[in-house]
Amino acid sequence: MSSILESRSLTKKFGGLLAVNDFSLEVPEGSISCIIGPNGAGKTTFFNCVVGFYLPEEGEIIFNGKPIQGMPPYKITGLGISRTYQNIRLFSNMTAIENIIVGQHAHTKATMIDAVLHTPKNRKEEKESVTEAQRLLEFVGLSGEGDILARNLPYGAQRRLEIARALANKPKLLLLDEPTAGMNPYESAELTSFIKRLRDELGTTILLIEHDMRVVMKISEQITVLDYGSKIAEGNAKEIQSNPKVIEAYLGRGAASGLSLSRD
Amino acid sequence: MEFDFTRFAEQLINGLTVGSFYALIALGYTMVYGVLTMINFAHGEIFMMGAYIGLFSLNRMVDAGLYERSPITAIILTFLAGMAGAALTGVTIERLAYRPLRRAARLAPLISAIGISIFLQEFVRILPAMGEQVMGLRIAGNPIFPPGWQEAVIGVLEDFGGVQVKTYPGIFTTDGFYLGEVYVTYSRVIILVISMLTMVGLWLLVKFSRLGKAMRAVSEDKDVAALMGINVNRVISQTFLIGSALAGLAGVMQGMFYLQIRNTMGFVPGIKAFTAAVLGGIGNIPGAMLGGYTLGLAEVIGIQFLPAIYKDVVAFGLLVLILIFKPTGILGEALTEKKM
Repeated sequence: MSSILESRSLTKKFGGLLAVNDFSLEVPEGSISCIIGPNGAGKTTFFNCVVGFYLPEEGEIIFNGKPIQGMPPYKITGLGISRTYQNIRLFSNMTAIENIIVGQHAHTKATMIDAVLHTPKNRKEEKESVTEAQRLLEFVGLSGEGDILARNLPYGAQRRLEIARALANKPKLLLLDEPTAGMNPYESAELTSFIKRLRDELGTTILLIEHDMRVVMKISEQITVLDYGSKIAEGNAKEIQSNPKVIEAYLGRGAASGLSLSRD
Repeated sequence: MEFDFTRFAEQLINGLTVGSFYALIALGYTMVYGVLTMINFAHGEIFMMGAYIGLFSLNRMVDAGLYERSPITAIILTFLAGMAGAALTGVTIERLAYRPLRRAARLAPLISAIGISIFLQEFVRILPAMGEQVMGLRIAGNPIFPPGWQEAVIGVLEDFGGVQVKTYPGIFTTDGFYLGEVYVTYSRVIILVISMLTMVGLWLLVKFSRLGKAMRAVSEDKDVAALMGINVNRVISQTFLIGSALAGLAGVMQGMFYLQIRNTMGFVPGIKAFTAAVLGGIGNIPGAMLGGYTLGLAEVIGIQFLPAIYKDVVAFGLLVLILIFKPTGILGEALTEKKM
């Protein structure tokens, strides 16, 4: 399998702090991959480098065979990368459907002139984008709630709306930053199967950051462990669970002998 | 003093006219605040530039005889020229004076805005003198420009700006009609209709168009907006373009209605419109419209009971009261943590 996203010796510094240190990663196309690691390990910093918020000091990020570091975020989005946030960042004063329509921005073309003149082309595009948005709402189980302001939706629905908004960009790669944060076990199990469905039905490659080990072990085909900005392990669920370095990073030196990360 | 209903009604109509100006200008303040959380204190000067550029274009059309032949076309072209000129001014200001300071402390763009405001006022005032200086430049005793040019260039610049007050040709007459006992001039009706239609158009644009949604997205969260594939800088430019065009429209109307324009004409309406924007809830587009008309009406109602010279006291008194009792304005919501 070819890799859709590749990070080559990526380094990002904040002053003297090495947030991401010589980090290399290959995300196979069509896979569900996961980055785990203790708080402050540099996982979100890596995401911010990929979407263009941070400019890495060294290394390369290759998406679909093209280097993308240094490109502005809106262009990277246009290439087909979407992300969600650890703390939900919806446009809270816009309705659910408007959030999704904004998410389609990279694929719609109407200009100010089109809007003022209300051209047939513009009307057609508006109609199509509403239809598509409704389809996405249905896909995430929010049909009928399109006209509710995003901030008035329940927490779990906001999470799913954020994913629907990310999907509106028709991404080839979807970055999910702790999608199950703040969810109860039932909700996170539901979301886990939803993420699987995303990949299986839409063929979207998914890279997620996750703390809930039940989720991680259940869906990831590849797990990468970061600690202090460096990769300390990579492999499938089984390999990671038995890796002493990983256990040490999570629980401290000495714990590696007696405990395992598996919590089911 | 006996209450004179006819006079009061006339004043109300006057208030709506003045309110239209305030509302159109206030929209620019509020739109820019929405996307940048910054008060563009040069906005009053953009309004002034609209009036000057409109007059300059109108004079050219009078010279060419177009105004004689087809006044309506000439007037429409005047509006378009004033709006385009103001829009260009606004977009240029954003690009040169605000964008480089986007990541700076919040006071920096504010000071830059005050600087631009003074710059534009003085630019219009000393433009002919500046032309004279430049055209008179000599290298080793020889004039750079042919002597014939000097007069022509200064003539054009003097027609545009200068120290003196400029006067629009009397386009609006005092013709009108009686509404009961109240005399209403057509010019007031025209101003009210143009303003209202423009504002409804703007509201539809912001509410429904792709650009409008992008603007709202940018005003809520620039980072996430960029992740939606929105070119944030471009949306900010377009916001300046639209807001400034509205100020240009108000500038040309001001010229046509009150006839006289001068380089400092933007200051008081600018501050009043800022008041109107705060009154309605800064950052809130319907709020700016409501604030504009509320302020216009408050002024005329106020001077029913106070001497006319107290008009500004009423306006700014209202601002102080709003800031004390409802700092978020009539339609404003509590500021989110992010914006504070």
